[in-house]
Amino acid sequence: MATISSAPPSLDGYQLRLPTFEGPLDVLLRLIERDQLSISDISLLAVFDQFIEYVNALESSTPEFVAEFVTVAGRLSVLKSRALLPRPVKTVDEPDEIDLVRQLEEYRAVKVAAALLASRQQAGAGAFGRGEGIASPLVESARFPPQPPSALTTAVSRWLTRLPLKPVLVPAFRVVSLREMVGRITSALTLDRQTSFDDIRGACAGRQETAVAFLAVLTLMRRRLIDVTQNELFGPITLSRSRVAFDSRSESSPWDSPQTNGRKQAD
Amino acid sequence: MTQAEFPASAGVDPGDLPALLEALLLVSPEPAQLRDLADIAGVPLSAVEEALSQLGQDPSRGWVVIQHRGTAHLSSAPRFASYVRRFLRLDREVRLSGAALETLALIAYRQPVTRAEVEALRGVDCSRVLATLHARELIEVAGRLPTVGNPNQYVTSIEFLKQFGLRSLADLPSLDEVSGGVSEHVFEEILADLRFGAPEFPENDPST
Repeated sequence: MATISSAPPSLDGYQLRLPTFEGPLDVLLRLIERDQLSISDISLLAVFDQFIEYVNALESSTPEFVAEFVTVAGRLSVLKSRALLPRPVKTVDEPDEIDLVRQLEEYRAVKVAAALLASRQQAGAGAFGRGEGIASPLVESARFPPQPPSALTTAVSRWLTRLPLKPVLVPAFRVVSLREMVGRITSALTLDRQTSFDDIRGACAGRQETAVAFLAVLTLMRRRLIDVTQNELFGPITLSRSRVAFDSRSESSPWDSPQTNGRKQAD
Repeated sequence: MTQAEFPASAGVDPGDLPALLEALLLVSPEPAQLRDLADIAGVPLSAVEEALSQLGQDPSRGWVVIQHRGTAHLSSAPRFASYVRRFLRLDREVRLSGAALETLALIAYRQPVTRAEVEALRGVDCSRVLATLHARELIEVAGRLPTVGNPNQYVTSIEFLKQFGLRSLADLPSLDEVSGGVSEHVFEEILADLRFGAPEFPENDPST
């Protein structure tokens, strides 16, 4: 048994792939038809060995599946034993078991009938009553009626109204703008001729504002509106009005026309 | 449909019976009982059956009358199936597997049969295939066999006739024509063997 089990279920080149064939009778029928025999006890005996060999090769299949083959194999064995041994006298009460030959003939008829149905199916035959197609669950699941895009927004808003409305508090920091900071520095320098960066920084709320203040200083410096001095590394930074800027346009914000201003200074 | 409240109608002129049946079937959303049709028309059942067979003979019509177990249903003619399918947007055709077709064929030709009989003849377990056919409404349970266990007896449904474009089971092609003379008696003999020893129960429902 174990020697054949590795081989795929095949019948001398007559391939019977497991998913496509329909059980032990199918196999028997194909064996007989392959040898062009008529269905009879004799032809069943002729294919006996091949059938048993085929069943042996089925070891890897599920027990339920193999069981169906073993049943037929058993009936074949009875047939063979009868052919080899003298038949005992039949007891009267014993019901006649279903003759394998007759069953095979019938099975062939079923296969023919199935082929007939298959050909009708292939031809796409079909009659339809009223209301069919509309009420068919197949159609309903396969096709949705076309929806306008507004249906989606309607659905979302309907969903939103069902949500519990709890106000969400998000901490928001007021961010000072560069323009604002420049204004703050220039006004400080309008009052005094000079001021220290530490004073400006002291008025800032948080690191971000300090960064903006530093940017503002750099901007003013670049525009040559202020002079900046620092005597030592990490020492205090002193901001003072530059002569050019604050002499001529002391009251107006130097930010108003930075481009022209800058260019004028660059000349 | 209960016709009891209405007074029995006067018998229709025999020449008009086919047209009357046509009218009744036209308005019937579901398969109509032949007995109801006969009552309404005021004619015997046999007259209805005869008239229906006349109706089915006209090849110039786009419809056919499908008859199934004492009912009649007006349906589109099978030869227009592809057009009707497109019209109804039934673009998915359900194809049956080989095992399902075998089982269905067996039931179609030999109904009514029980699961045990189907399995004995096919030599394999058929419970899953039967469940599939049942779910697709191609077969139905006609009753129970009055034998041990009261097994269900399966028959093909009107849906089967429609899907395969048959007006009635009589439309099924004869096996003898195709298979080269496989005896149809064989089957009956086998069934008789299977039913060996079944006690004779009265026909009525076992009420269990």
